[in-house]
Amino acid sequence: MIPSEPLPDAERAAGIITRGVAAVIDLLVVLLIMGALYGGLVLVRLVYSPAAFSLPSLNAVFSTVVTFAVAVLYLTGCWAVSGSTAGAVTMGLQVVGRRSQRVGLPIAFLRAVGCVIFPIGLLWVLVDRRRRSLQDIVFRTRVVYSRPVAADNRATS
Amino acid sequence: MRHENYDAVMGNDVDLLKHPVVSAAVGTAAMAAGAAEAAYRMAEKVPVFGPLMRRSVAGLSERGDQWVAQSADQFAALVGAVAARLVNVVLDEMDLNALVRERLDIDALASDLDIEAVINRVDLIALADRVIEGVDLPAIIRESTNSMTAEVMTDVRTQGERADDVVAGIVDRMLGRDRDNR
Repeated sequence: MIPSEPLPDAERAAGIITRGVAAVIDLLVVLLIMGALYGGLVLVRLVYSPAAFSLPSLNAVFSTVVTFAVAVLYLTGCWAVSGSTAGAVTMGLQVVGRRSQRVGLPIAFLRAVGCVIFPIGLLWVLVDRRRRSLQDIVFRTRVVYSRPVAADNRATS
Repeated sequence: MRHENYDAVMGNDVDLLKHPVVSAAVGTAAMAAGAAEAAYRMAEKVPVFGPLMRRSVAGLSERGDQWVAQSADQFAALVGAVAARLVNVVLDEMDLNALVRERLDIDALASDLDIEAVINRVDLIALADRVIEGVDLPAIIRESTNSMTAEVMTDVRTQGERADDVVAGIVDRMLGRDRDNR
């Protein structure tokens, strides 16, 4: 265990409610992307074989793998670029590294995989004193409230 | 005030005409004119001198007519210029706005105005279009929507943070932890 460093007041770790809501919003986003992909697939099939058209029934394994891939890509991209997914932006959260304000691409990818495979790990936020999920503990990340004031402080410091 | 001054300087027409000096002058002039006319009538009746004088008077009046015909235009122009300058000077001296305000019942005039006729002459739709063109409605809507969205977002985040604290407090109490030790 890394010894706990005193957190500045502007960077309080986010709790279970905001992170849960953010996760639900992210799930909805991923489902939306999946729906768009499915719609695109249907349209492509309609274009290429309009006569023998029927709604494609997708392989369950294939669907799961694609969903997994989409979710991991989405989370990785968002965390590596800005630290915030759509849900995190809505709830005012940001994923930061233990030392830096950004999560590196490999860490972001691994954290995304961990979150998608084992989302229940988020519940550890409830009992952890520093409000870390299991993924946070494993990958040494934090989820903090991103406030405009905090952003200003960061910019000046 | 200017218009008070104006009244004092101009005086009253009736007073001026009744002034004894004026009356005396007019009387003198009338007497002189009457005497001249009588003298002329008498001179006309003198045998030799009469026709001669009548002829010379005719010549005089003829020359007078010629002169008048010649210089009438010039004279008219001169009088016009003088009158224009005079009016300008008078107008400069007077405060017309104050004068109108004092002498005219503007409220009564306005109440008599046929505003319906004026409105009927105005293309109200075109006017409204111009007014709406001047108002940047999309910018106003955008601004208000933006601020509303920002407020809602801030509210959601604040509420979420508070809910986090409440839940953490409940869990801490359940686990028998000291909250400040977090």
